[in-house]
Amino acid sequence: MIRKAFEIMIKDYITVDAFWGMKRIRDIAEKTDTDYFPVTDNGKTVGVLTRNDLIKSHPNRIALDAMSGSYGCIEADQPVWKAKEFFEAGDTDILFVTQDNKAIGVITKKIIEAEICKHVDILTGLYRSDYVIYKAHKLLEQGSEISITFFDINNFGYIDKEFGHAVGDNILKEIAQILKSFAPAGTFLCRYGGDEFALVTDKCAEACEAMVQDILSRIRQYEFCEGISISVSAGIAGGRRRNPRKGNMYKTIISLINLASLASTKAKKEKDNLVLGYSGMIDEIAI
Amino acid sequence: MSKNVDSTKKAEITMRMSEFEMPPMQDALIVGKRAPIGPEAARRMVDILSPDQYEIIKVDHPAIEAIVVRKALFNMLPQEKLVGLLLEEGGKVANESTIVKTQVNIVLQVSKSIDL
Repeated sequence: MIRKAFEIMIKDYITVDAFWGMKRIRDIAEKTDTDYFPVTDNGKTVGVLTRNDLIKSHPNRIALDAMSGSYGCIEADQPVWKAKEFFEAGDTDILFVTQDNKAIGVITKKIIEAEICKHVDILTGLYRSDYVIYKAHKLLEQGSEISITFFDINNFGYIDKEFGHAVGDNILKEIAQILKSFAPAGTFLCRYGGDEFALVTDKCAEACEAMVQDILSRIRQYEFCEGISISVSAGIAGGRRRNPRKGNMYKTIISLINLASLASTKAKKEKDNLVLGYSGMIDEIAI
Repeated sequence: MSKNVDSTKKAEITMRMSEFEMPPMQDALIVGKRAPIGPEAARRMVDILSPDQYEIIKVDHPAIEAIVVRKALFNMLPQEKLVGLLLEEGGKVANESTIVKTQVNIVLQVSKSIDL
């Protein structure tokens, strides 16, 4: 399951009063190793004091005149990916996690970076499945079309046994690199499992066929390590929601992934290694 | 051999008294980026003594962070002109760590002729 903001937040965070002097706050920073201090004025948050503010400000200044950081808010049950997007937007140093319009914790850049690292596959550098599930959910929320393509390396078990796992790992890295290079902008890629990769797009399934065929042909043409001939099968499933606000969208996405995965297995027997597993309205497909 | 030493201690007191200036910051404060008192602290200090009379204007300047100006001055001179003047002249004497107190006297000269 995708982790939520409240699962990674700091509950016991330190706030400083708008009228506290830099010297007092510096002492706290030294003792607690805190990088960001929310600044409150009469109980209301008015800004964020960063470690950099503490370094460059005159010791006589009050927090109100030294703070330069900015903050945002995220609801407690929002995915950690949403928090990452806030920080990526660039203008946020700290996120308040809110529940019923009350701050119950904070998330800093360091926390989100540490969390996101757990969702990166060390071998290929691609994100794990959580990432594409979140992106697919976001597309559905926006009422967009989505399609999920499942890429599955043919006979990968044989390659591992015949050439060894180190060679198998190199091939996985090379495949990941090809997918990264040729997946169009605005698509979302992950290593789903062992030798399987998933790609989410905001296009209908049929519109993805040509793009997937192109990727498969580039993989066939690529010269892999040890001169091993590699081919990949792909299955596509996708469609559009009839009722954007109804139902459990995560269930729908998992169903689509499943359909795409089954299609990729079928595709192993096809000449062009590609099967369109599902295309249409996706409201009814949740298992 | 013992020796007695007489010693005395005196305190000399000098007082200089003058009327407390209200508010104590005259017409404008030019606050440096690393000054010991920031613009918000200055405004709040003066707000307690003379409520709602001063305004902070944050400026884009290499050394000056903001100017705290007596609002009444804007009745006589447009804000951007006054701020421009303060930055032009104040920028020559202020630096990052100073707070410069400024007195601004504006005299309007009006000359009109009317038909008789």
